[in-house]
Formats: sequence, structure tokens, C-alpha cells
Amino acid sequence: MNRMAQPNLWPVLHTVDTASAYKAGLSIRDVSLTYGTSRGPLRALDNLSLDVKPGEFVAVLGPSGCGKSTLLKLVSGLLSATEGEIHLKGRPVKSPRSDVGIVFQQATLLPWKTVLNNVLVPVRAMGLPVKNYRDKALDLLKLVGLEAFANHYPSELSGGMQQRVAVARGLIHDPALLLMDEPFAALDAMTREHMMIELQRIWASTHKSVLFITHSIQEAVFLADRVLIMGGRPGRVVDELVVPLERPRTVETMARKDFNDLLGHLRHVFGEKSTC
Amino acid sequence: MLRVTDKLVSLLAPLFTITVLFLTWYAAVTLFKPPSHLIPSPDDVLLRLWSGIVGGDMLPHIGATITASLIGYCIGVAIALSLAILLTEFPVLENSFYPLVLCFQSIPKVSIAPLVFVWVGFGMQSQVALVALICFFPLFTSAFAGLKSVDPNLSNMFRVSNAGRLHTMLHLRIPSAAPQLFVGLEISASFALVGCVVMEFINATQGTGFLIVNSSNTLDTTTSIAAMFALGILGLISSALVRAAGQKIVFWHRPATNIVNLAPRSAL
Ligand SMILES: Nc1ncnc2c1ncn2[C@@H]1O[C@H](COP(=O)(O)OP(=O)(O)OP(=O)(O)O)[C@@H](O)[C@H]1O
Ligand SMILES: [Mg+2]
Repeated sequence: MNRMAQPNLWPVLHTVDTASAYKAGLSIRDVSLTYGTSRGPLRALDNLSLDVKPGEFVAVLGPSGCGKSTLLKLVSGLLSATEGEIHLKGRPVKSPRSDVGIVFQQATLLPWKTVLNNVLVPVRAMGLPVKNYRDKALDLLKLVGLEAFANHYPSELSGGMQQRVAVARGLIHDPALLLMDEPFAALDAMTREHMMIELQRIWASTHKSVLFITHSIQEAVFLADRVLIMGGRPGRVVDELVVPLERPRTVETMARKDFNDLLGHLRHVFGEKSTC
Repeated sequence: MLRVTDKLVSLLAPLFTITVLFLTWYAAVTLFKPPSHLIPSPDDVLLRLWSGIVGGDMLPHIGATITASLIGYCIGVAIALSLAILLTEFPVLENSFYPLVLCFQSIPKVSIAPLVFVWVGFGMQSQVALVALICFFPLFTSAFAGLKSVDPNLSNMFRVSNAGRLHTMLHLRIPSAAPQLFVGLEISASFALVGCVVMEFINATQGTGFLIVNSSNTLDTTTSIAAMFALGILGLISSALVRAAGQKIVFWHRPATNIVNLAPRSAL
């Protein structure tokens, strides 16, 4: 897409900690969650703590089944924690909140609505006035490079395009925090790389805090300011890596030695600490 | 180009079989000359149908069948939809009523026909009642299944947006269930005529079913078969209408195979 059309937004990013205009910190303290199953209680998360600073991009990396989606459901308010506390912008998260946006692994678009109306789904559901958001929706579609497809139906779009619509939908109500649950896992490698670059650009121009869940080491290192490594059964954070790579990161970044050293380091950590 | 020939073939093939069938029938009748009260000649049947419609003597009967079936269909559909929505929306109701509905479903609905006369009396209301009852079950079961099988990610999406129950029902659950709903609507439409004709057989002074019984009693087999043809055509038209409406409304759904074959079976 037209990456070049975006002016130089990058300096903003290195001042995230002081960017008080976008205060949207997430704090998770000693959270545990136990599912009641037919085989008895299953402890999916155990004493998990993490923080996402305002404007920060945090990736949670973990093997399948270690409780990543569970964590995301807690933060989005779809589940409530058995123990521990979750605060967003200083207020406890007890039920779904309008300052959180979410992007799932599948695009989950409504096939009977046009792309534009799909982006407006959260607006209608929240009972907000649609006419105030129509222009915003079109702007977001432009941001994800789909302004020409506003009146198309999801079935007329490729998987990557659908996922970009889902990203636009997650941002429509201007949430402080964007939650993403393996949003690119269903895409092929080429589209995925493209989407990673796109997402970095969108994040840079919207200044959201992002909690990005993935099981791809490459995705985590490329996108995040900080990578949290989860271990499973029960799920907890076992290690943390601050990614020192400067932004914007590009396809060339992926070929660089320091990038690949970070991947290697994470693979090593995975082998040692993260068992699932 | 290929598309057009394909379409032509798929249109001409059934016409061809029908013509062959009629010609065989015609040849057999001219060859063996059976008495017309046993097997009438096909041209007589078609002429009788034509005169019955153009001359108008069959029209009141066909009209009565259409009216009763349509009213009964609408009532059955309305009840089935409302009940399916209520049961899927309130788990308490589902737990208390769903098993009951399943029990009733296994009873052949036509077996209740004599009692319908006892309960609602003779006349068109009896046909309407049985049609409504017969139409209820196929639609209820598919609507129930459809409303229950909403993509959990989509419902999560609506939940994170704090969508109200009514909003979720109107904008997520009903549209999600729409393909299934139309399967039910189509089966119900084909059942409606059966229910109506059964009631007209038993006790009626009008209707296509009455016409069939009456002309059979006077050994007017030609009229009986002509009336059967009329019913067949009605059945074809009604399911074609429902299917066309379904394809128009549920434009996003492309069934991979003939969707009716995948439908839940329901005893008449
Ligand atoms: N609704 C539920 N009821 C009972 N157990 C559940 C439920 N959802 C998840 N679990 C269990 O909790 C654990 C963590 O599941 P979760 O879906 O959070 O994993 P995940 O890290 O997202 O995996 P994946 O990468 O495959 O999506 C698993 O062992 C799973 O079996
Ligand atoms: Mg998951």
C-alpha cells in the first residue's frame, strides 16, 4: 500500500512513556483463571502479571494452549478473573468496555454487510450515532488501504483484505487499547509480512496501546516494543525481551543480523522455559 | 458461451424426460385401450386441467386450497419463529420446552386430523389449523438450530461492543440463521399442501382435496388426476417462490449442494 504517503510519524514513538495525551495504560496484577470443565477445574492462567504502557506495542508469545486467548478474553471483559485485578486507565475491567478494540484470529466479518457497514458494527452495537462515524470509517478504510472497497461485500475480498477490515473495525470507536488475537495466523506468509508492515504503520499513526497475541516469533520481534514469553499449564509469563530495533522496521530489517539474533535468542528461551 | 449451453441443457433435460414420459403414457393408452376410469389418456387429463382452469370450474377448489394453505403457513411460520427466538434467547424456556417440542415432533401430524375437527370445527379453519401444525415443526427445528449456531467469535465481537439483546438478535442471530431459516421455510411450504389436502379429503365441501375425493367417487379419474397435477404445479410454484426469495434475501450464502437434502427431517 501507499506507505510513503504517511509523513514522518516515527519520532513520536520514542516518547511513548511521556506521551500523556494518550494515557491508556493496562495493568494486570496476579491474575489467575480457572475454568470449570467436565473433568474438574482447569487452571488456565496462574498469577500472571503484565503492563502495557500508553502507546506501547506489547506482544505476547506463547505455544498453543498456554492461555493466550484466555488472557485476551479477560482483558476484553468477556471473562472475569478468578483471582487478581485488571485495570485499564486506572479503572478496573469487569465487563466489556468501550475503550477496548479487538481483532480476532479470523476476520469475523458479517457477510451480509458491506465493508463500510462492517467497520460500523461496533458503533451501531454501542448505540452511537452512525452518521458521526461514517467519515471516520472511511478514513480508517483509507488507512488500511481499502477505501475503494467500502461498498464491497466481505466475500469479494481476499483473506488479508478481510483482516485489514477487521483492524479498521477494531479502531472505529477510537479505543485506547487494541487487543489482537493471532490476527495474521490464518494468512499465507507473503500476506502476513505485508500485514505486519501495515499494522506497524497503522499503529504509528494512531498511537494506540496494543496487546498483540501470537505464536510467531518473527511477528513478535518485528512488531513489538516488548515481547512477553508465556509458558503453559498453567499459563504465566516466563520471560521478557525488550526489542531494541529502531523504527520504522522494514523488510530489510528482517534480513538483518541483530533481528535474527533476537529470533534465535527467543527460540532458545522457548526451548528452555516455555513448556506446554 | 459455455454457460448458455449449460443453462439450456439443464432446462431442456427435464422437459425431455417429461415429454418422453407423456409419450410413453400416451402410446400405452392408445395401444392397450384401458377404460378411462382406470387410466385416462394424458391429453384428456391436460385438456381437463385446461378447461378446469380456463372454464373456471376447478378454480374455486384450487383457490380454497391456496387460501387455507397460505393462512395456515403464515400462522405456523409466525409461531415457529417466535418460539424458536424465545427458546434460544432464554435458557430456562429452552430447558423446559425443547424436549417437549421434540416429543411432539415424532408424532405424525396427520394423525391429529380427526381431533382438529373436534377442536376447531369444520370448514376452512380445520385446514388452516392442520397446515399451521404441520408447517410449524420443520421451520422450528431449523430456526432453532440456526439461531443456536452463531459463530462464537461474532457473538464475542457483539459482546465486547456491549450490544443489547435485541440488537444482537436483529443484527447477528437472525441474519446468521437466515440460510437455515429458508431451508425450513421451503420444507414447510411443501408440507403445507399436504396438510391442507388431507383435511379436505376427510371433510370439506370445497378444495382440491375434496375435488379429488369427489371425482374418484364418481369414477371421474380424469378430473382426479388433473386435480393432482394442479397440486403438483402449486407445490412447484410455492417452493420456487420461497427459494427465489431465499436467494434474494440471503444473497451472501451460496449452498454447496442442494440445501434441502441437508435439512433436518421431520415427520409429517
Ligand atoms: N471455555 C473453556 N472451558 C474450559 N477450558 C478452556 C476453555 N477455553 C480454553 N480452555 C483451556 O484453557 C487452556 C488455554 O486455552 P487458550 O484458548 O487460552 O489457549 P491459547 O494459548 O489461546 O491457544 P492457541 O494458541 O491454540 O489459540 C487450554 O488448555 C484450553 O483447553
Ligand atoms: Mg488462542
